[in-house]
Amino acid sequence: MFKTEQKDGKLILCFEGRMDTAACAGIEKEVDGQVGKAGQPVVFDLRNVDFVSSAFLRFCISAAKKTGAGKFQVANAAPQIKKVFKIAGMDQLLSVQE
Amino acid sequence: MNLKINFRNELAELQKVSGQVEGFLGRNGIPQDSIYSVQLVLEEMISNVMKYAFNDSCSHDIFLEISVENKKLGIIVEDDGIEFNPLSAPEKKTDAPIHEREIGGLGIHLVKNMVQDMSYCRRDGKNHLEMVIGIG
Repeated sequence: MFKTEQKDGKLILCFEGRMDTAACAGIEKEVDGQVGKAGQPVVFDLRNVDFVSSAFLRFCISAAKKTGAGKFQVANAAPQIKKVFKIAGMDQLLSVQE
Repeated sequence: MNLKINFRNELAELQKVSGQVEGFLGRNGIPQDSIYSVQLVLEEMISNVMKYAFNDSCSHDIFLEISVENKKLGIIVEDDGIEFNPLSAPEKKTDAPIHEREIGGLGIHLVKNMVQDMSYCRRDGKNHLEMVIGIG
């Protein structure tokens, strides 16, 4: 459900498909583990994601807390997903380089 | 036009229901952004019911009805779990810095901001939740 890669001194987690409650529950430990041991800025890449629920937003809050201020970003979110981040007051996490 | 589904309180069922709802709304020409809103609302409210409404290990039925009428989508969710009025949930603060946020309460906040109307009542020992989403 997600792949990891190193790029420009950042850890990129590239998610895929539908990030709903059940899917997030299935990968929660692995995502937390990867982010927890990253020791560098982390990016969640959503180019292959078509749906996020609050379960995924909780991943993002948790990742932002673990990495520290300004070291966590969400990239390549589709418009409907950006809207969800905006309603949650989390649009500052969305990458501005798009 | 409406769609009525009864399903069990298991997360795997929710994924199937979501697919059925997407198919129904697509066949009725509902635009993609409205379909997304319906799916998010269902995901949040029904997963909440599955996680918190039942304190036994028995199987429970959840009832869902989706109706399409006059540029509006009606959603009814009914369960026989513990009484819970989502309208009474405290407002979520979304202006704090991300790293100071609490983890919970986001789902209901999203739903309240996605729907035009939301009403709740407890009747016949069931939670009865009605919501309306605008089309387009």
